[in-house]
Amino acid sequence: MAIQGEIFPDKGKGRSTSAAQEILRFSSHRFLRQRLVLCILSGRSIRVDNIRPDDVHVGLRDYEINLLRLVERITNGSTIDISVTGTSFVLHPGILPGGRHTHTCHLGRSIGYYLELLVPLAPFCKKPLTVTLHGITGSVNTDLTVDSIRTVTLPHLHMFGIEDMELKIIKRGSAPLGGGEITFSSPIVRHLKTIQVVDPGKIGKLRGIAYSTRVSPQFANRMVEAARGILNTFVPDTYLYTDVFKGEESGKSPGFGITLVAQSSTYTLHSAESSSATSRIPEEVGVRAARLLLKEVQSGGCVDSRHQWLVLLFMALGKEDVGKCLFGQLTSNTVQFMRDMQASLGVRFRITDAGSNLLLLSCLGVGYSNVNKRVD
Amino acid sequence: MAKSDKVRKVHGISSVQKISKASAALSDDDDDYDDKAAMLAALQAHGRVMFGFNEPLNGESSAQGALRMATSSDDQGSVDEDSEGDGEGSSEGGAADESDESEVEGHSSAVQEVVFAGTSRGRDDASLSKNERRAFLNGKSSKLLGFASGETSTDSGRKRRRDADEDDDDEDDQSNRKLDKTLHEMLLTNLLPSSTLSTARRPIDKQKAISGRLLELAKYELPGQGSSSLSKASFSTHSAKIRTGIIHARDKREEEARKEAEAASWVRGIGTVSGKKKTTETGRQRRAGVGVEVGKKKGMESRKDGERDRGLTMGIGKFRNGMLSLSQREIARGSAKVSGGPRFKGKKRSRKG
Repeated sequence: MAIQGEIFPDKGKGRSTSAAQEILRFSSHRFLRQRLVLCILSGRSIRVDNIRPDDVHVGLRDYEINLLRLVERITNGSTIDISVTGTSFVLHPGILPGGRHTHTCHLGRSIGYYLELLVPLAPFCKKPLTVTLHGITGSVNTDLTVDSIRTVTLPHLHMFGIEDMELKIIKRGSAPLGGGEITFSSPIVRHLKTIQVVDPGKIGKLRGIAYSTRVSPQFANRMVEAARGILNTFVPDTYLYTDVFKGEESGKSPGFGITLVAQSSTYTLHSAESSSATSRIPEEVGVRAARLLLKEVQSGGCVDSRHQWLVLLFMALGKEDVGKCLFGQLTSNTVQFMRDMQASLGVRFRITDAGSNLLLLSCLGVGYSNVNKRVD
Repeated sequence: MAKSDKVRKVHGISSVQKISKASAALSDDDDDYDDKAAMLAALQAHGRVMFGFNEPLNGESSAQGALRMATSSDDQGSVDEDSEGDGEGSSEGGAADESDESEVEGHSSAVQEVVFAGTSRGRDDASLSKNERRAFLNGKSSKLLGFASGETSTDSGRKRRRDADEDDDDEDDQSNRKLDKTLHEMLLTNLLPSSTLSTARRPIDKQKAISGRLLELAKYELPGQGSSSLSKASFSTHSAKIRTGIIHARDKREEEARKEAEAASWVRGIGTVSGKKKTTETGRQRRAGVGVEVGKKKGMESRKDGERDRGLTMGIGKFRNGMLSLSQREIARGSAKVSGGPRFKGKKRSRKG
């Protein structure tokens, strides 16, 4: 499967000790966030070239520059050099001090886009991190909504020993004007636990959240009823909650959406979501979300497909022990992430076929420990 | 006329209302049958979309609907649907709509009957899952535990208590703390005479009792005398200032003795050929033993030796280099002291003039 426009990162001449000081080179605007995460965690500088060289809007987009600004805000001592045309930049990462920060996200992407960068970095700060983000809490361009992050991403980290993460939605705001506000806080850990998750279990519970902003609250109910119509036949323990914010706290633009999460008997999670960005009729949105969830559950595994990269990252950063996890089909994001991890952290995964379209991935952790954390 | 009015009145669902209003606007002549057929057609389309049947969602004009209604005359299939409202979703208006619609459906004969179950069951679910809803919509991922990872629910209780000890990741530290706790309790219950448990209520009393008992056990004190030696140490005959002076003098003495010993001995540090001297015999050690005062006390100023006015000031003037210097003000005032600010004997004063 050829991925257009992808170039393998330069590795230098083998894994000599000088390779750790060499700058990593990547190409194209794709997979930007996961590369930034790897850069900051491994402490190696990166250079990204060829960012939209042939586009009408050449180089980095505004939301990407906003992302780099966020990186600068939460790290200490990092340097970012962006070229004149914006088609390349160099990032020398600093340390992660933690603490309290506030950031206004660009309205080109949702808050989930920025949170996906913060969630893997937060446990490795010097002090517990608390970030307040303003922007769009709904979804834009297949980004995760804040509901997804709260109900799926954060529980995924429980198996690595990172508990007590908190994401509070203070205001909701849909595209295009936003107006939402969330607070994300995370504890700090020194080590990550090694996981051995090979049993996907059977789906026992379905939960969901339907939200609506600046529209009739009935829209949320309609989405719920539409999704229920499909999901009731499968799992009886289905509860779909409506979360309607009113007035000031509902942002500036009308919108609605629904997030569905399926939990199995072994606490693996699968999720899907849909919003008014795809369709203006709530019933269609509900039905679409339900069908996406069924498709997601069908692909199987112990990890939701949009969170595969996160689980793999934490497996690689774990103690020097073999960690195993069962996955369904790997997405192209995941595959490229594994390549980038090999370049930056030097971690390789062993992929074995586990039958019925499932893959067992195992790796030896690098023994990453939070050196920023103070020894009290 | 009356029937159609009733039909128009009970439709509460906003979208259907809109469609019915629109269709009412279109057909100006108000043919009852056309209106009702149009509204029923709209309702059916709504129902089909809601329940996810695989039909293309094209709009259906009222004329087409009327045509279809006329052709499907004997279709009396009733579809039972379990419309359990979710937690907060079913409003009162919604409930009223559903029960009313079943009435409306029942009136006309040539229509597919759709019966909605009452929403009372939905209300029960709402009250039952209220806690669950709060837990689910909570911001903390650990509180989603009821939903997310139930195996860590037991850990969460311990985790909250251990919040302060975030450094104790290891099993060893945990078991050591447990052992410490057990030891502490053993000391309290077994080693102390039972009378102390009733008399020593305050933490400081307990501390003294335990330290005293340990001294007795270690044979530093006679049995029964442990805590009394501690008390004697705390109730000193001297005032605080004198006590601090004693501490300072002792420190200086020790420092000189150490230097002498180091200069005299063959190896670095205090020691003879045979080995280290027992520090308890040569004098007080730097570290505090039980009942030994070290360190700064409250009100203890940092004293700088050599700054002290030696000799003959008698409270006025500066005596330096064998000379007593008096300022004009002092002379003018006779024997009056220079007033100005708090005076601390022994502290360096910077005076202008």
